[in-house]
Amino acid sequence: MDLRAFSFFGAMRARSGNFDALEWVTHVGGRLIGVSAYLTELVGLFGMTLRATPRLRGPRGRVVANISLLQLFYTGFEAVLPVTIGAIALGLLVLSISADYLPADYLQGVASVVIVREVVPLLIAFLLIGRSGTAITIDVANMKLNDELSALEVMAIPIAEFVLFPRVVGVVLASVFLQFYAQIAALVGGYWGAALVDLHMPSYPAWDLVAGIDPADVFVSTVKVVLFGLVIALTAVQHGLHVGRSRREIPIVTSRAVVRSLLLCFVLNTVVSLAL
Amino acid sequence: MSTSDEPLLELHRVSFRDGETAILTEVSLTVFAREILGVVFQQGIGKTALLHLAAGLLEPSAGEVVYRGERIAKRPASPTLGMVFEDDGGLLPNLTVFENIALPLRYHTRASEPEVRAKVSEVLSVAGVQEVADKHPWQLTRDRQRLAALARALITEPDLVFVDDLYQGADAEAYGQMRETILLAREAYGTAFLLVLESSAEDFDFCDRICLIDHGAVLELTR
Repeated sequence: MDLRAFSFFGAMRARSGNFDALEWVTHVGGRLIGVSAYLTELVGLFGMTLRATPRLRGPRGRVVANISLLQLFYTGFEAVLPVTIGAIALGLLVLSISADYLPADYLQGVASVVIVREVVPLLIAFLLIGRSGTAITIDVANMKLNDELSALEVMAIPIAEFVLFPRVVGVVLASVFLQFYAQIAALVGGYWGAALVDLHMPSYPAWDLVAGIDPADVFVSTVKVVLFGLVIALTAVQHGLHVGRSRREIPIVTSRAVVRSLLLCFVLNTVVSLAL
Repeated sequence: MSTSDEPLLELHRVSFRDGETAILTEVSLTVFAREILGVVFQQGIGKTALLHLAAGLLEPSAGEVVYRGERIAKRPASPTLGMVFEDDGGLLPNLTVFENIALPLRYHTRASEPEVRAKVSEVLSVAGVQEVADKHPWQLTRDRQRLAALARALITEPDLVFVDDLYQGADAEAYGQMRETILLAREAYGTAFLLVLESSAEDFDFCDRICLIDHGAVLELTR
């Protein structure tokens, strides 16, 4: 058997009949340039957000603070119900399985590491991408197509201050708030739920699970959700700004924003979990 | 108040290409202070590009745009310009008409709330749309939206206002109101206007000058 048939080059050769190294290098190089340009743009938007911060004093600060509070409300408080349901369901699952396979003494440790540190940040990321990321991309894309962004520019109101900053701040603050809430909901609600459906659950007060959380796990989780919030808001605005001239492009840029946000959150999650 | 000889905005051999397509070719024109300049496009292509170039929203492929003697930056630094965009005028739909008009004042000045209210009432009255202050743009007809957008453009008493497609879909009443508002604004604030007009519009005498652009190039400028 020719094992080369199972390699990447073998597959390329088999598909095209004739492997073209230059074509492959061009393809991979083009992809790498595309990814680096995309990440550079994302970092550039983050830089714009930071640079806008000191300018937001006095009257313009009040205007932007009001928009940021609205974003915080839409992203944070309106997401409480789906976060509650998701957190309890995941907490129940993790605690119930852990109780089946692990000694009771391990439950607090599992709750802290798995639920607080790993599961809740990803739950928050999924919900924020689905609810707020898509809404921001569609909103910004519509603003661009309806000349609202141009109108802001003519009024000398920078988009970085009026559009970007409030969305980034609102989403990041909301993600931190939702994270703490989801951790408690997952532990307490998950434990009660698991105790109802699983007879093997050790019987001790649910709040003991909360009290047993390692602060280091909360720190790691907070770092993650702050990064997720940044990535989700910046990616959403970036893709909204990328819309061309047609409304038909809105679903395309929204779908891209969702996929890229998910990928970035997965990568960041792994990096932070391994690094901290 | 009559037109001044002081050039406010100058386009020097401005060209603009969209990919391979030439949209504007070496367009040169000047808007003087307190002037109402109407621009008529024979083909209807490039009218929005011209206004966006003049307002600094687009960079020309060649040539330069000079505002008050200085080359215009990509984004104007202060709200000395106003613009009424195509369709709904570029109003922000999540704000009421009052909030839309008050936005530049609230953002750039330390005006108290009573002062903001007084100024917004004034421009709403100039535009003849006081009754729509508490409505959202999507609750208004296109005519009212564009008059509200014109009121927003006037709130900072700018030197120059661009109006894209002045009479777009306007009925007779809105047509008259738009004209009256522009003349009142020039009288009250000394504002100059660069208006894009439909080639079928009959009433060009309301403008101080008319510029005819054919196939992206200035064909004729009449005084």
